[in-house]
Amino acid sequence: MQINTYIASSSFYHRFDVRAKIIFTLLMCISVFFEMPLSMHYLLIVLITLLSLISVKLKVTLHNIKLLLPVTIFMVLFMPLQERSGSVLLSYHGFTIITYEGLHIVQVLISRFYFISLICTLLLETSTSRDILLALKSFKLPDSACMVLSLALRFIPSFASTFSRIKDSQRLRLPNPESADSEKKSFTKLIPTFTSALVVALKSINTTAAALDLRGYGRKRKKSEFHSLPGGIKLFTHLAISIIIPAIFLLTLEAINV
Amino acid sequence: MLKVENLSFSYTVYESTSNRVLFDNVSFECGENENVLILGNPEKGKSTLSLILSGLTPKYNDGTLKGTITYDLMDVSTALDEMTVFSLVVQNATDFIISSTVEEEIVFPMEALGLDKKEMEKRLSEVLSFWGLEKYRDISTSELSGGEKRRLMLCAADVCQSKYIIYDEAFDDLDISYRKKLSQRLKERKCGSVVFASHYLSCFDGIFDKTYILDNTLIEADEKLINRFSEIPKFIINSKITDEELVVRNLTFTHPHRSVLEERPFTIKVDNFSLKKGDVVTLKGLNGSGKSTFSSILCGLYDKESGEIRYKGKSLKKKELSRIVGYMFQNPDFQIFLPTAYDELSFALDYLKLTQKEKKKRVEELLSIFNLKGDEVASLMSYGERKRLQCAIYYSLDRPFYILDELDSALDYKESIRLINLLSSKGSGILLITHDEEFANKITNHGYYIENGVLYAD
Amino acid sequence: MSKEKSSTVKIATLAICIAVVCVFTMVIKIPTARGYLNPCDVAICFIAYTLGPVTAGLSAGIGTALADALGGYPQWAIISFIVHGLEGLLMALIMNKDEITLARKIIAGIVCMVVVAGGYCLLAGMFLTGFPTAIAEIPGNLIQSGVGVVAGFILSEAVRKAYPPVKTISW
Repeated sequence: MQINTYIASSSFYHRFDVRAKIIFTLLMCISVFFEMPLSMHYLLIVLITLLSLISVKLKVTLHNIKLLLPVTIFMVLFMPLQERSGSVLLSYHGFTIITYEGLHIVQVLISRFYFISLICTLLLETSTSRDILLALKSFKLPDSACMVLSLALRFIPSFASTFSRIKDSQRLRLPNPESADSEKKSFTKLIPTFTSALVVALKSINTTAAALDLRGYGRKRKKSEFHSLPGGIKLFTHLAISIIIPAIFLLTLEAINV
Repeated sequence: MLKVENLSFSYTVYESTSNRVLFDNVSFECGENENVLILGNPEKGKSTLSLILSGLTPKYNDGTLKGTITYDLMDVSTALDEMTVFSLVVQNATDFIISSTVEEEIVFPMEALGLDKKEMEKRLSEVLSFWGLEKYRDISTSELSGGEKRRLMLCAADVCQSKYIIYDEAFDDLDISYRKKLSQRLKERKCGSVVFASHYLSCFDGIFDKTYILDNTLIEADEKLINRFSEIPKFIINSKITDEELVVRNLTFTHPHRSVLEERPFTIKVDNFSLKKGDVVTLKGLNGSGKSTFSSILCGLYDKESGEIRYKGKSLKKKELSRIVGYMFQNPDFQIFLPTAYDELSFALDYLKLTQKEKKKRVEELLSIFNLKGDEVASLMSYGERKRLQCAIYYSLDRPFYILDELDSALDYKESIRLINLLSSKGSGILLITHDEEFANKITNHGYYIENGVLYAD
Repeated sequence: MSKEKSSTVKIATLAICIAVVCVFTMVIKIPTARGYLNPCDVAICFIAYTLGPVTAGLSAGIGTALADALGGYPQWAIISFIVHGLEGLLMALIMNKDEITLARKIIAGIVCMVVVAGGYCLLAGMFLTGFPTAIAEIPGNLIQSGVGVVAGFILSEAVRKAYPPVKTISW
């Protein structure tokens, strides 16, 4: 199983400091919930798509958008349920189907969803998991929590492959192994696989704890760091940018609303 | 001086009053520039002893330990805390890896030691080049092959620059060039080394100051004892070899997973392979050479790209193969999921639609043939017992062919041979995967070996 | 095991449980509007049943959030973290007894279904998709968590029998 979401490249968004990127993502996600004209929403969609095209290229961008399609379709389908008391846009034999307000709300919802999804995906596609962990550490996440996360990230791919090995071997011990696809259909047929997988996972707890101890986790002496995020002027400018952009955005909104 | 005095250890068996005594009265010494070899069959407690010497058992596994271990008069838990007194190269590398990439794994202990960045960089590049892992530096640890994982463990132990190193089966999984490097290293005697091994390898000659055999207790061994230890019992096929055979022609397969390493994708190529019913054939090859991928194709887990697999004059599809070839995975835990050995076996027999009484008889038969206790909790039995249970399950399936993956790495020669005999006794053809050259030669002179995915007749 | 669990054991337990939840979430996917249906509730139910509230809450929340992030649905990560974290925590608190009666199991199961369906509906309705779509998701979520809980209890019993020392792991 491929769990690496990082897409290697050297675009400016890749080189943007990961701490600043996280703050930027968070602030922008909050910003889109402010009241704003529809045109602003569309502008944001265009900008985030551009950013995506610049940093991860067309193919990945299209793939990301494709993942959003099912929800978008649902939102469009349920449009008739929005704001039923508004002014009628479309009706059939006097029965209101879509109202102007409903259409407006759905457009806002879809563009907001699109923006949030894409900016979060971009964060993960342009930063390595190691950098994200380092950033979390610099945001004062406790050492033990970082250890848990990095250990979990190490285990996910190997447990996934153990899981598929177990599924295979459980199938092979059956007298008449059926084809692989038929067993995906029912949860209960997976119980033997689940049981073995969990026992194998639980059995590895003590070994893992021993490994942590052996490699020197939890010693009293001060740890040093091999990788550290760069500081200095670059960090300062990036942080400044990541705060100024949302700020300007919000001020513009304010100006429009007035 | 590493000093071990009167060590005895017994596992606490869960909810049982009788503890499993592993060994008793173990004493030995290893000086600062000495090399000590401890030989022992599988299941005799080598890995446990190595973990005890590292202070990790009984800290993380339940058991009762008596006796003392000191490193230069320092007790073992202080020594573990120090990290620079001893290092352990574990046998089970897969479970001991704690980081996502090779680089992070090697750097981790150095960070814990508080080394400065320049020193870390220096030691890191030293060990990476010594163990040939430079190009794997940023590779995910879950993508490494067994041999590469072993070298990673050696790297992680080396960077601490400890005064003593404990090697648990460190030569296993290494190919010849790295075995030479490791024995050369031992010859230089820069630190005290304790090596655990289940086979006496030819590259051990002249390296060790003392050799012991671990079998309930520790005895110092001379050449005669070592020879007796290395003896492989005679193997005679006791079933008739028939003309019905499984034939593979011009098979190719591209491995979907190991392509991240930028090189070209890993391809399996088998021009000619045959296995007769009743015959025992070996398959040798280094780790990552494609043994298990080839086996997975043979038993119908992966679909071949081209070529054909025939049996009884019929070309077989993936689905049909899995009813003809039984592939016994190396790890028995993957196939065990019911509470007791009895349950496991009766589950395996369910398809026969026997009466309750007949089924009971069959299960008890199987239990006695494979020397198992029916009421024992399957997941808590010893590794050898679990392996036997796995064999019993396959035995009851009556497949015309079996692939046995690394049977001899978990069992001693005598037991391996007994199980091979049992499985072939009903006339099944057996493909034995092993990386123990001497064992393979003793079993049969008819074999194959696989290198970089290409299969050759031996 | 009466001895106090060391921090390394706690970290190892938590990390492995997170990985278990994450893999269960990612292994089987049935595409729906919310992304996909998956057996994550099976794993969460098992952990809540056997490993205690702290492990259950944290591993359920982080495990599903990681699965969302790694599976290409990072926008759902925070919602998943809250909803499933709460699910794991509450279920474990209800079942945090030596003797777990059928009544407790049923209550835990109902709580799980309510928390998952209600939580997703509320949070997604407010922040991501709007209420009509979120409400339409309720039946799917109810089915997923309902099936998950039942399978989870069957599995928990199976694991307890297959590996009795599991009772000693919780902390």
